Amino acid sequence: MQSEFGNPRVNGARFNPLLFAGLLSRPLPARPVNFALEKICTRLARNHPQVLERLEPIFGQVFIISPQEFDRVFQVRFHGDGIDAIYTKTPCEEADVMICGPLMSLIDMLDGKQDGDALFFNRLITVEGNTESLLTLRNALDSDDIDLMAEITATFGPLKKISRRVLEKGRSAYHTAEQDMEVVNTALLNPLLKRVASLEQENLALKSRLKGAEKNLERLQRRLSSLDKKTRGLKS
Amino acid sequence: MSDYELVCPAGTPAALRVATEAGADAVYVGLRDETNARNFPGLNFSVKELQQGIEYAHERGTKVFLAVNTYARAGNNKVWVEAIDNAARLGVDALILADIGLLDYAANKHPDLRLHLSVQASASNPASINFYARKFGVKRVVLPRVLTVSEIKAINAQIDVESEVFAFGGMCPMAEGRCSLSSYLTGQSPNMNGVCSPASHVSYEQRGPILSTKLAGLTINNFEEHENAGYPTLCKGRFCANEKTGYLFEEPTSLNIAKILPELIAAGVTAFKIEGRQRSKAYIGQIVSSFREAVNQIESAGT
Repeated sequence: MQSEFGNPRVNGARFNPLLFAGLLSRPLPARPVNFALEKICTRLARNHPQVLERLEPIFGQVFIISPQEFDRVFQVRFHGDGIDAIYTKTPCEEADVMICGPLMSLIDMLDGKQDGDALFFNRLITVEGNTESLLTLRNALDSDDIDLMAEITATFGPLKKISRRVLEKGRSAYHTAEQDMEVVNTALLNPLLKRVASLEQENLALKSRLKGAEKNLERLQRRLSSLDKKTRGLKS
Repeated sequence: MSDYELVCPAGTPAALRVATEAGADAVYVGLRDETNARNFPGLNFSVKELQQGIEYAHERGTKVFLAVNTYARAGNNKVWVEAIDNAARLGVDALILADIGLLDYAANKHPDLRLHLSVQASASNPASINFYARKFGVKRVVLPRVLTVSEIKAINAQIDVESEVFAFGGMCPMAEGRCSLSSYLTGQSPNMNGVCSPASHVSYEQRGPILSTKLAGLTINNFEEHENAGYPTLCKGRFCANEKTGYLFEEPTSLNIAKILPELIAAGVTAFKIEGRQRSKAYIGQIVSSFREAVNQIESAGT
């Protein structure tokens, strides 16, 4: 689902640590991700049947989850037997819902660590498509305690403890780096914002002067018209 | 258990666990059908989940209230009656009702079941509240958000039941229980169908930096890039009239009574209700913890 108003992945993108990772990962194949996704989906469906039950009204619908840092998207479909998900560059064009935002915000939302409403209404993520389907998905995922990290690391088999430690460290490092980059963002944007504010002030001052000049002109026109009338009276 | 009850929302079993752990004295929930005023897709409890939720909460000393607070459909009240019977069978701590017929049924069929009068009943004066108390044995009334602190105090002085007020959430100053604004566009309203501005009629359109929020195809608001957006309800829409654009009905402000908790306690309020069964468990955890702290501080200060 490509918005007619531009690519939402690009529109709201801000500096964050994964933006660089996304750029670097572009030439890499999607196959290993898809292999892991299949295993994660099987585990999620098996460990959280009550979530799947809540998703019944949206069985068969296509959800596109688009991390803004990457050039591929996750295409997800729920059905009676489980969850199908693929990581792809060419998603289905007839998607029912598209959710786009920073990858870590999307993961935190799925994990229940962040409020999806707040992310959306604060304009950190964007959504398009069937709102009722989206709400059903949000409510269903939020209805259980899904430990996404545990589900992901379980796919590493005997290395799950080590991988969990690595991922947790990575998550923590991400949040630290994110705060650092926010400082960079602010530093980069502040001069521009100040310039915009100053131009805005200038614009307002010019508008006010223009309004004054318009009023003076109207007054002069009225005076001229009155003089004109008087001159005509004297002539006659 | 504190002197003042903190009543918290739980739209899902996970939210019930989060609210309980965060310090709720009571959680209120609804069944996954049209019997409650938050009938959103993917939300609410099955009867089995309600049973498990009650067990979980009771083990931790937290009460569970069941909201059956929509008005029963004419000629077919089976699903509402079943909800009341299930509430009694599973041992909920209180049943929140609005429909006068359902109040009558619950009072007669389950005389030991504690009844609370939902805000959807729109009982906002002593005569009305006392009627419900006398006729059906209602023990608590949930007061509408339209009342001032002095009005609440005056009401409490003339009633013999506990009062519960909204503490945090959406500011909804329409006469609760009587608002049909949503139904003009969608055919559905909170009282009859359990939904205000149902998601099935909501759409969001991103037009470059502008986010348009729509209800039944009509634009309710356009948000600039720097603005926080909001859910499109008619009452909080930004419209153009007399060449001016603004919030014609009401500003989209949130309700937060944290600063006037002592005044409300002095006005005789027993319970404080946090709104938001449709909100995420992350939100619930945060808000319930904050309010728990606020109530504890007041109690330890001996207010």
